[in-house]
Amino acid sequence: MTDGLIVPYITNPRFADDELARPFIPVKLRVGGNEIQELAMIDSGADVCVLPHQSGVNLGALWEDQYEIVGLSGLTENLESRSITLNLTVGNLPSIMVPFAWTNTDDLPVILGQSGFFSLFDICFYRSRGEIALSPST
Amino acid sequence: MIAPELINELQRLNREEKLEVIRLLQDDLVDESSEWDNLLSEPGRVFRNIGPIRASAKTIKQFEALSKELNTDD
Repeated sequence: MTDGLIVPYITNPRFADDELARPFIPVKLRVGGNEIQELAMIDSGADVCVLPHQSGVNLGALWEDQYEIVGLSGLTENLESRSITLNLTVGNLPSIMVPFAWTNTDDLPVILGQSGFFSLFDICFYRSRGEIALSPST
Repeated sequence: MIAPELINELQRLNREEKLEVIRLLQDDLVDESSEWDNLLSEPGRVFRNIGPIRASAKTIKQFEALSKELNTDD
């Protein structure tokens, strides 16, 4: 893996105060002239990338203007969601355009899943040493 | 073997009540020695609701096509 980034597992007290380190990475999300920084969970078990509701609001997106997605579900509930495409930047790696499922809940973090993130980055989880290695896929 | 009366009772529940039953059963099935299961069993934890995230095949194909279109240099 070359031209990549090594990111440590980190604790994210915003979502759990158990002091456990998890594969969260800092990302910049941008749409139009609006940009936010978030801690996003790299989730190989997620089919798609997911954006919590308030993050979309903070980016200036309008819920009613987005295309509705049918059939998105989590562990115990169906999630109402809309499709939104954001510019995503991780560290000094090239920015990518990522389709997100923008949900109507804030009970989850930004999630980076298979479609849109794993399809564009090669990712290695080194859990034993608490690191994630990412590089643009070749 | 679940008693038929219990099955009938469960089938009469509305959606919210069924979800509550699922959560109660998940709590019972948690292995206390499992770090991840401990997290899921904590009430109010955000991660309780998130995953795995599943999308329909149609949505996945749409997202992949869109991602490829937006990130391919012409």
